[in-house]
Formats: sequence, C-alpha cells, structure tokens
Amino acid sequence: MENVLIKTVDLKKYFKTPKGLLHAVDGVNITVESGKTLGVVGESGCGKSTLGRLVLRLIEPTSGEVLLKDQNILKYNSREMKKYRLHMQMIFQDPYASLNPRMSVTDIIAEPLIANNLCKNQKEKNEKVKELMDIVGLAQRYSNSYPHELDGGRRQRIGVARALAVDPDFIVCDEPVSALDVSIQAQILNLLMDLQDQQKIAYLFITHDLSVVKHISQTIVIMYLGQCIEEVSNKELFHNPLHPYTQALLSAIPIPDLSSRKHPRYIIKGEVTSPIEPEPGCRFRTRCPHATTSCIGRDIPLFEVEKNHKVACVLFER
Amino acid sequence: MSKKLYDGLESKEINRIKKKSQVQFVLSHLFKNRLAVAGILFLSIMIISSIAIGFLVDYKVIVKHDLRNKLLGVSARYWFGTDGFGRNLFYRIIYGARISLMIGFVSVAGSTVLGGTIGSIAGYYGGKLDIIIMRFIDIQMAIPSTLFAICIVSVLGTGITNLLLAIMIADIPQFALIFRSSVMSVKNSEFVEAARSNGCSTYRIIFRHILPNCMGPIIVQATLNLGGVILTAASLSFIGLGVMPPTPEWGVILTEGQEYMRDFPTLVIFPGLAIMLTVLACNFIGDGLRDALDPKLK
Repeated sequence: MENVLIKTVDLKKYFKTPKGLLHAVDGVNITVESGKTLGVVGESGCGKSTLGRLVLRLIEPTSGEVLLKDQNILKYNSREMKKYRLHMQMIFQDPYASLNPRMSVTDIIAEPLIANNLCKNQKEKNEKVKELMDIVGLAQRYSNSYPHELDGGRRQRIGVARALAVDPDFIVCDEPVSALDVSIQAQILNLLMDLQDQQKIAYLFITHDLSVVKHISQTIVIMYLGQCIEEVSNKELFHNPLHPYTQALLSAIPIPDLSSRKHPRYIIKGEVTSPIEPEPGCRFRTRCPHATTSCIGRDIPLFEVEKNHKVACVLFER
Repeated sequence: MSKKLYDGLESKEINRIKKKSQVQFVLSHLFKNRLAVAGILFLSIMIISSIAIGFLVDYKVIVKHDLRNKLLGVSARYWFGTDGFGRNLFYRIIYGARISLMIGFVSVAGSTVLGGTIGSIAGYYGGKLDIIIMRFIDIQMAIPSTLFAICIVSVLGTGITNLLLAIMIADIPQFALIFRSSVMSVKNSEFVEAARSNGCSTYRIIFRHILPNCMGPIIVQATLNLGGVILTAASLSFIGLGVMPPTPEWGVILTEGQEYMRDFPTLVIFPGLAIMLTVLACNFIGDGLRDALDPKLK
C-alpha cells in the first residue's frame, strides 16, 4: 500500500461505566490511502462513531496510535495539534445539531478560517466563503440565513463547506446522509465524490447503510462490537462475503424482485452481547451458526485470506 | 458580474434585512406583552427623570433641612409633600431612583460576570474542578442572601460601595448555577464538537459557541434579579446597614418616614410605592423576556 495517509495501530477506547469498562473500540487497525474512501459499516453501538472521533483525536484513546503521514498525532500537545487539525476535518451526522443556531451561514463557514487565522481581513474572508458556497452548491442568497431557515440538504452542504474551509486532506464523514431523505442523500454523496475527484480528499466514511457504502467507498471495514471483523474491497464484499456476520448483513438487504421471494434468508438470532468487559474470544460467537469451542478463549486476529481481503473468523484460519 | 442576486435584491439589502431578524423577533414578541411594555415604560421614565433631576435640582436642596416647611401635605409645590426635615419628598424619591437603580444594575452586572465565569468554568471543564467549585457554591447557597449581605456589610462597614459589593457577592451562586447548567446542556452538542474539530480555542468555544446559545435563561434571571436586588438594597438601608442618611435612598427615606407614619402616612406610602412599582416593572420585563426568548414560539 503506497500513499498511506492515516493509519491506526491497535487503537483502543474504553469508557468507564459503573458496571465496568465498556470496550467501545477494541484494537482497531485501519488504513486510509490519500484520495480514497474507506467505508466503516456496523450496527448501532458498534463503535463506528467513536472510531471516527478517535482518529481526529476529538476524544483521547485509551491506547494505540493514530499515524498521520507516519506521525503519531497522539503525541502532540494542543498547539501542535491545532496545526494538524487543518489536515483533518469532520462532517457530522445530524445537520440540525451540528450547526450553531445563533450563527449565520457565512459565520459558520468562516469559523474555521478565523479560528486558524487563515484569512487576513473581512474581504478575504467573504471571498473565501463565497467560493466555498459555490463549491458545495449553496446559493449566495443564503449567506445571511440562519440554519433553522434551511432544509436538511442545504444544512449538510453548510457542514461540507465548513469542513472544506481549511483545505483538508482527510475528512471523517460520520453518517453524513443518514438524517436526509433519499433524493438528497444522493446529492450529498455525489457532491462528496466530486470533491474527492477534484481535491484528492480521503474519506473515512462511517455508515450503517450498505447501499451508501457500495456507492462511495473503495475499501470497506465491517465492525462488530468495537472490533474490525472483515476488511475487504468494495467488489469482493458484495460477491464474496466471508464472515458469518457480514453474510447476515448482506442477506438483510431487501431485494426488490418477486422471484427472489423464496430465497432463503440468513437471519441472525439473539441480541448483541454487552460491550462491557467482554470475555476473550469471537464477540459474534453467541449469535453465530458456525460457532465452536475454538471461538472461545482467545481474540481472533484478522487473517489475510486473499489479496485485499482480511477476515477475523476461525473458519478461515490457516 | 452584476450585483443583482437571485431574488433581485442587492446583497446589501439582504444583509440589512437578515442581520437584524433575531433581535427584532425577540423585541417584537416582547412588545406584544402589555405588562412588559408597562414595565419598560415605567423603568425608562424612572431612569430618565432620575438622570434629569441631577441637572434641574441642586443636590443641596435635596438634603438641606428646612424645618419651617416640615410635614406639609401634597401640594403644587411639593408633589408628594415634605418630610420631617422639610425636604421635598418628590425630589428625594426621584433622586433615590438613581441610587437604587445604580445599585441594582451594577450589582446584577457584577454578579452575572463573576457568577458566569465561575459557573461556565465549572460547567465546561466538569470533573473534580466542578465538584470543588459547586461545593463552595452550595455552602454559600445555604445562607439566605439577605443574611449573607448583612454579614458582609457588618464586616466591611456601611456605605454604597460596600452595600453594592455585599449584594453582588450574595447573588453570585444563583448566576453560577444557572450558567453552569446552561453550559452543561450545550457543551455536548455536535456544533461544539464541530468547533473543536475546526481548531477553535477553549475561550472561543465558550464565548462564541456555548454562551450565545444559553443567553435566554441568563437574561431572564438577570432581569428578575434586578427587582430582588433593589429590594435587598432598600431593606438593608432600612435597617441601617446600607446607605446612610441623608443620602436619599428609598430604604433611608422609608426609615425617616417611619417615625411619622401614624399621622403622615404619605411619607412611607410614596417611597414604598416607588420600590414596589420598580420591582414589579423588573419582574414584568423578566416575564416578558422569558416568553419572548422561548424557542417554542418560533
């Protein structure tokens, strides 16, 4: 892999709860190449968003490393970190909550410019904001509107413009389209992909929607209870899913075709086990139809089954 | 490129229309509330006349004894009559508004700033710092604020400055609590996280992102507090721990009138009315602001 932009090494985040340590992210290794998109898929509560925030150091990891161009950003103090924030930005899930309701569109987009002293005067700031609004497709007449006056799609465009303001190389997209309706989802996704083509931005794209991830990403990571259980290229995922959990996820996609009605559905039973102080072993074993005693007692690492296809399951252990 | 934009309006026009909208919105709601308008009118009249009297009447006239004219009734010359020392009661009450309102505004502003700083720090940083600060606030909250002010005045001595300080310190906990809870409710919002990921400093996050979003309850608290502070100042002066005679403070005027209350009730009715109406006006404005700032109305 050349052009590695962001890499995490055994990244862990444990939260203290009254019942014990909650393993939100437990030893995740991901790699994002510059100008490419890494999709992170998983169900609610599997630690996707925590992973995104850890990579940006919005929350401090318990252990592990985050390497930005081979520099461990976790070692930097807050002043050095401020410099590195210019390379990494974030687009948030909820376009209603992620914009300050007391600031106008111009102020919101200009905020990163002002906070990082990137513009010398008012005129330069206004020009830059205008340019950003053009890039994300927001009409100039909204420049003095407040977020509550705009619809979800336009608000998310503001969020994209704000992330772009500092010219980042890498953006964490935390379910940027899950709060939008389908037609607007497509607009925002296409906007993100166009931006990637033009500005060579790398994305860490967090979502629970497989069709979205299929549309946008080159490589996909499947997460289950804080662990990465399969890392696979986009095509391989939909043709040859290996981990039983991934297979269950894919089989849950509804097929809009009457003839496939009788297709056997592979439905997993049971509840997600608690992420608090989990026992060593495969975390999916309580719901897995192939579970054996070899799944218990030790954590299962990712094996490279084929090129660009890794899976953490004893079935494929060699 | 032409200056005309999408709606055919020039950009400057759009700027002017939009920039005012939020303040205008709150004000238009406030002015629909009749009681609040009455409160604003009364307070404005008080403020303007108390400033004007400084230019129209010599301060010596207000404090000088004129025993030949003492205890006169209401007349064209003496609108509220004269007190036991023959001084014009109307002048004294209007001049007293100066002192009462000054004490009110300055001490509320002071306790907002001090309590706000303490409360914001506790709310934003949380953890041990929060626990330590809040226990001190709890201790102070356990003492009634008037009693606390009495303690401070008796330690520092009487006089306007000390009275002001006493009331200011006594009111800090209320503001610290309200700032703390407001900051805590906003600090975990996504837009604060966005500000952090944009590289904003802590100072900028608190002042530009968090505080503007919790001004509503704080403004209401400050306005409602204004009435209470004026009342506390008057009562401390009444029991002889605040402003000293012959300064025409409302509490002082009440004490002086108390002696003649049985035969000349106007000597306590007028200063009492002044205190009551001012406090009432503050409360009406506070209530009006609370309704106008309520986001559910939008």
